[in-house]
Amino acid sequence: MGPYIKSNNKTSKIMIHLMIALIPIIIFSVYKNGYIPYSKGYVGFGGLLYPLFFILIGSLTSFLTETIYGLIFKNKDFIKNSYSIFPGLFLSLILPLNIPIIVLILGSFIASFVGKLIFGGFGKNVFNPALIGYIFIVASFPSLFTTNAYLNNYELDAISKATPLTNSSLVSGIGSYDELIKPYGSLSDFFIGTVPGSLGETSALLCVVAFVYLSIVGVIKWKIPITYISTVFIINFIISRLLGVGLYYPIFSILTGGLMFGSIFMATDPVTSPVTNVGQVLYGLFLGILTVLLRFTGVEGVATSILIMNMFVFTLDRIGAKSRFNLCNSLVSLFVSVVLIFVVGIYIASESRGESKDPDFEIISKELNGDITNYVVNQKGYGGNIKSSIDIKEGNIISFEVLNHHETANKYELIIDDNYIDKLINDSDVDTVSGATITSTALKKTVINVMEDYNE
Amino acid sequence: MKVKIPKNRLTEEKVTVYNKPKKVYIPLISGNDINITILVNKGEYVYKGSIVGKRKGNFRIPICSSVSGTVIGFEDRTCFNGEKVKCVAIENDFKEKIEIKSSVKKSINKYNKEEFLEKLRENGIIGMGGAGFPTYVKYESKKNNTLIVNAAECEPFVTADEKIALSKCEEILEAIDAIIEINNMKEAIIAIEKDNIALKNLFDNYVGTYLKIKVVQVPNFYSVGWERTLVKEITGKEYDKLPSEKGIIVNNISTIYAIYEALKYNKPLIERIITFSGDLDHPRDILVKIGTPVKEVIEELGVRGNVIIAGGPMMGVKVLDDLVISANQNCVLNLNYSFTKESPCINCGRCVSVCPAKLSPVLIMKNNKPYLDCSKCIDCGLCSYVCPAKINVREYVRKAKRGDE
Repeated sequence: MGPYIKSNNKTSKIMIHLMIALIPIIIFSVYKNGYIPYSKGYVGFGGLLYPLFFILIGSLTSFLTETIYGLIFKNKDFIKNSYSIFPGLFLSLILPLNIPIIVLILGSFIASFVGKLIFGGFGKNVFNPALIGYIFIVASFPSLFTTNAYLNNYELDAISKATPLTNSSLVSGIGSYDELIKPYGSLSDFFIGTVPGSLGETSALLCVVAFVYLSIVGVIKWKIPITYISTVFIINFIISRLLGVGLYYPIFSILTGGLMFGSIFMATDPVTSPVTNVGQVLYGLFLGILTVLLRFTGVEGVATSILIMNMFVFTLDRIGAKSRFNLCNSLVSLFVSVVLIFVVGIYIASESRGESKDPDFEIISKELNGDITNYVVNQKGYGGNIKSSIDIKEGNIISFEVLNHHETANKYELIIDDNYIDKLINDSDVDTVSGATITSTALKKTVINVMEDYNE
Repeated sequence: MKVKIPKNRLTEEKVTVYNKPKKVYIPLISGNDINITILVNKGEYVYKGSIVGKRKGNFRIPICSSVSGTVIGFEDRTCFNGEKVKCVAIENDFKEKIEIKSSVKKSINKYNKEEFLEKLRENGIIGMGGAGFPTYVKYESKKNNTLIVNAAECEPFVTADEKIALSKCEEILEAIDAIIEINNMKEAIIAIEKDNIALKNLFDNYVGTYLKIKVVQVPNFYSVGWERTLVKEITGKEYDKLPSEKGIIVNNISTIYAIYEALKYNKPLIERIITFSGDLDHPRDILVKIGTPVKEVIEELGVRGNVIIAGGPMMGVKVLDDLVISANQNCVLNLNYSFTKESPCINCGRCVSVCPAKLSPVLIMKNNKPYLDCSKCIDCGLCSYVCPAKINVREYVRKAKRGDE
């Protein structure tokens, strides 16, 4: 029975395009995490190739899992149509580089087995397989996801452990430009990708290039990343306006946390995303809302929200199918999502404003001696609490003495050499000391928090 | 999303005639209705144009013999819908004898509406673009003011409509002019495809004398020939069930020529131009009589393919070689067809984006829920055509359609 002619579209061609789009990202990841540390002498030749090895192991594991399963339980067609390197490939691009290789293998196996095979194989899964593997690892080995997990040997030295970067759980509070961005470079560094992070997620630029390529060849559901990223930007823009922080904040929010990679490669996975236009738009909107909300509560935003929304794809497509005949069917859901965008933005802004208390700051004692108020406080530094004594007279700091600290000796020397504390007394908005960023930031925060308390 | 399907092979320029079938098998089917009263007996002599059967029910359309000769019996043959239909088998005496019936008017514009409808009805004019709906019924309403003549054949390989337009342009324009005058219509629009330069030039020459007839070019995508899509492309209007809701009648251009012959010569619908194409040595448009067995025609053209298809490659049906021609068939294809294996659906959504009826075929395939309105499907086959996994999605929609009934 007909039709007796068919188009040139083929599933294999789509997968090849996807692979081509990933190649620049893979090359960049080897360059940044392998070649640069190698060229600066931090690692040997093995270290140069390690990122590639990491990616290969991930891809190979998922390939072997599905192929062996197919040989035992299914048939050759099943294997041919499974495209089994992708779960492991994607997983290796979003996990931190410094995890034990066995954890990657385990995650890759789970991604294929639980993420795809249990549902019946390719085309039948409900959840994004790579993210299933990812969430499994995050839940089973949370201690692996420290800041240092994402830093390669070169970055470990150069960036000297600044504020927890978080590739996965971003910024749960509102940070200043100095806290969020400066330690790692400038906003353009975040765009190009020369910042710490997992192999695939750092370069927003290459993700955008991939998106453009995939859109031109017509193999990507482009409405999803567009609405997803725009929603995250808009909500964070609302927050930034309400809190009076600069445009850097919403821009930063879309350049980190794996949003670019997740929205362009994970949310657009055809099997687990909606097929209708309205369904895709709603999917992107709700993904954006969920991501911002989850990030605010300190949980990983992108992977979790995609897995949650995977469960609702059926419902979204139902709304979308009905909307093809009559757009009014989708008005309610669109209205709800727009309202939520504003509600979430306003809620987060108000919560952050109220949170004037710095959790790393503690007032040990506050005494009034004549017209001098004396504060003895603790502020968390790199090695532990920095105990300081500050005297304030008539609104000005007249003395600042560090009573006790556990900072690294040579870092603290830089503080002394720089006369940093004296500078702080005169102007709390002084640049941090390079090479001792965490320590100097802690001292700066001490002054800011004490003044805030004094002025209340 | 609008899909452009390449026209594929073009037929030879000249239209030939095949008028020597030894036997014809007149299908006793009108549109999709096989409730036909048989009005001849075995052994009876019939003239060319004699009525051999009449449709039961409200649409009293006669079915006429395409040759003069003797009725030799009633046999089953395969028809345009792929099914076996009872046919009146007539032995051709090659004399082409006709019977004089009622008179005609020299100037066809002079018929009044009742005479016009009766001429259409008694000559068995049905829609030759596919559905085979009785044409006179479309004209019964008084509220029509626009006639759209569909010369936009969007299925690949098929060139029959183009050939009738090229060869009978003046007659067709005369007929259109008569139709709009008799029925008090405001205007007529002839729809041709953008790529078709020959047709455009031809019409440009003649259409100047007819002030109420316009030629409009429509973009060249598949399913532009579908009534609903064509009306939307040309007038921007959408209707619920029938174009008459908006005062529009759509007629295939071959039907217009058949109307011309009915009005001018009292000639019933007994022959038409059909495209024979595909993997043949000589793809041609041929004027064939209704009831002609396809096998003998195609043998002369150098058969190279392994299947015979009644209709175009998208909406046609695979048939056995005992196919006979009916009035609403416009193509016979001979193709080398091999079955492609289906792979799992990846939910890419292409079928959804191309459906001209705004359905979501992949959702119907996976869920088969009634809210997905599968009855609106027009069987165009675009969903199966674009699928990267080579799944025959249209079949699932058809199954859901049947389940709905």
